[in-house]
Amino acid sequence: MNITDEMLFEAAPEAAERWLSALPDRDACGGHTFSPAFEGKMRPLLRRRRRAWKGLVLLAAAVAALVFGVYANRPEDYRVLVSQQEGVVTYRVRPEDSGLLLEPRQMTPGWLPEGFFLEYASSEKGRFVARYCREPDKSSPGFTLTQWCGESSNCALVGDYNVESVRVDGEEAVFVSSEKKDFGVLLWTAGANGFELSARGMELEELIKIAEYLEW
Amino acid sequence: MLVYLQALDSSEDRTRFERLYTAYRNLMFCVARRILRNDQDAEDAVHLAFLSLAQSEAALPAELGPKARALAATVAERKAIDLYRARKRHPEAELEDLPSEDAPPSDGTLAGAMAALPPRYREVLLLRFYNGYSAGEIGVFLGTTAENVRQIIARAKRKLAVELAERGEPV
Repeated sequence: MNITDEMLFEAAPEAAERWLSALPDRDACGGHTFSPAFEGKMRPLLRRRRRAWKGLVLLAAAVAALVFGVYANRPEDYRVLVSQQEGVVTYRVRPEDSGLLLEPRQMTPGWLPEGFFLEYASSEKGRFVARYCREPDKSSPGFTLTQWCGESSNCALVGDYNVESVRVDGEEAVFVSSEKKDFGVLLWTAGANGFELSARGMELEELIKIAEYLEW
Repeated sequence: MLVYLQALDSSEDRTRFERLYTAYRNLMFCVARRILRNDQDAEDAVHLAFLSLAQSEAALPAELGPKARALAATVAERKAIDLYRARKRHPEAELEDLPSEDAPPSDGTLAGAMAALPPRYREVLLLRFYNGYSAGEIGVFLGTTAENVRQIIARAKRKLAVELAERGEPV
């Protein structure tokens, strides 16, 4: 009998559920008060991560504020605004403001490159995120589709990037790609919905096809 | 340097690491204490587990849920067993001899056999085939090499095949 990876992938969720159900539950685990020694050892570990993350967010916010402040005379009807200077690319995706309180709805790919599967999906506060890939290995080709409704979304990328105008369903869109062509982000809007398709190891043509074949 | 940052209008402050810590540290303590039977040693194991998790923060689950819980409990279990072997009264204890109150009984299915495997095999198989981590990432979490992880997977497959064949169960 040969146990293959495919068999293990298929059986793993049930195996995990069985093992997890045998673990102590929340009631059994809630009684311990960690010692001051433990809290003291964990504090610097947590503070380092919090500081690193906050530092990056502050940097991005400062850069975005500087760049978008400079572009005060941007056209009021812009949907995707990208600026690039001194090794920093900042962009803002701004869907149409219909003035209505819309219920966020998620679109899913109607077409996927061969071998791709849904690795995970999540939604929070009307923002949908789904990752598709060929293999679970994070270095393998794959993409993450982020979509939301109404609000603007800002981002900053630090490094060497190319910015080009493309079209999705005949509408203007922007593609930001790394110099090495191993990472890219396709940005566009469709009415009150904003989309960000970030991918690794994939061609622009594939991303545009995925974007154009999204379906409710 | 390539830095991908997302600053939404409603951005979240806490890191993945911190969310994992807050949500699962008590579970990890419970898992470790079942093995080590000592509060202080269990806390040490939990601390070591978080040190391992911190080395691959980018690979941590973005959302809390079963996969995040499985990862946290698995790494805590591994650190507790390593401490047990290093400090305890049975330095030469085989992994299969360690008490494992968490292992559900095997029912002859592949899933059941996986869940009932000795900790070392089960940890690696679930991290690989449930959580989807690479051998390298698993090595970081469990404190071993990618090559050793691949060898464990191969041994686990043989063990599963033998067990299921003995039961006469088709897979």
